[in-house]
Amino acid sequence: MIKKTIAMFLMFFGFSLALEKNITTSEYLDEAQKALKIAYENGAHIKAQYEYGKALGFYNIAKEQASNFQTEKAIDAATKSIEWSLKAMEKINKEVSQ
Amino acid sequence: MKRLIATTILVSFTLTNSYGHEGFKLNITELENKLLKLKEMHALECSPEEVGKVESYLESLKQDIEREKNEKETVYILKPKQKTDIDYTLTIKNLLTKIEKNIYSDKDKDGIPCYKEIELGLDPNKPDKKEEKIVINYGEENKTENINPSQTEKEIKSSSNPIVQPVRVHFYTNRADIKKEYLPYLNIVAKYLKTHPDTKVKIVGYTDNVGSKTYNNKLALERAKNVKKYLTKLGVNPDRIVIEGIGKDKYIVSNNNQIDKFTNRRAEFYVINLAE
Repeated sequence: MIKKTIAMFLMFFGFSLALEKNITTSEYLDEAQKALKIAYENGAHIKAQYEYGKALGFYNIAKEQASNFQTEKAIDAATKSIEWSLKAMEKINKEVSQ
Repeated sequence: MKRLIATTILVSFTLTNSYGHEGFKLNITELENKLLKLKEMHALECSPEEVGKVESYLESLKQDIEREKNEKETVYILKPKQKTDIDYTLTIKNLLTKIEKNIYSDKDKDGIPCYKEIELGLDPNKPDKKEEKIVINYGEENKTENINPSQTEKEIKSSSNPIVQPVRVHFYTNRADIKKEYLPYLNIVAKYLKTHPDTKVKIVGYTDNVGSKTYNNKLALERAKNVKKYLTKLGVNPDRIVIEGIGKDKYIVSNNNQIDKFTNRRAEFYVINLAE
């Protein structure tokens, strides 16, 4: 009985830990995707091609790393992708204000 | 015997470990250098999205290497490369070829490749009609030079300069057929020759440094011949076109890489006075 409870507890602990990690990575990926989508809708692929390309490159890396269970690297890349999407948006807004 | 086997195993093990790591590093510097060269050819203007992608991949690869280094420094254990690491070299290479293509592409279909338009200060996304004007203007300048009786030797020499920089046809390796993207150039030249019956044109074919001198001379002449053939097809009198082939000589740039070789494989146009 005790063995079963310990095993159940360990399984639950491991599962929740994995779930928590996965959610963080996928959340980052979701955010990166959203940022990319917003940048694209604002015309970043035409007006800020370099910045958009960087964001897209980092997003692809994040996806590949996540599918390879390299969560740290995936999160790093997703964060950079968001940063570059924001930079693209900044460039577009500057052009509009000018 | 046992000792020999043991030492060979040990040596091969250490060599493979060190080679794998160094080879990975070398690839990155090689790729970085290629990107730098492409940037010099206006890759940022002609293919910014792809440049951004390549840079992001290179950054992540560098980070991986730094991480590995730090791990080694702190733990002092020679770790073999992790199997889970993704090698992006192939993706980067594909992107670099795409960038190279975009540099030589003609997005606005005005007959001038992207990198050339940037060099000339034109917009690569808008078709430019200026080229025709430049050609005609140059011809008019020559005309006035011909009329002027006090013509110096220098002036005569200047009349045999290339018509304009962009009027240059490039070729594939070991081939003399004209690429479709250069036909608009030739159409402009034909138009100019038709409207200026008092001028002759000299077409000079050139090659890169691959192959023997005699073969390259033939190839260069063949290239010039093909350009002449196209112009005569458009209605230009063949007597007004002089051809010459110069193989393995008079390069515009050094033949260090594929782009430079491509630049050197060309046919150029020179306006000649009828008096000459």
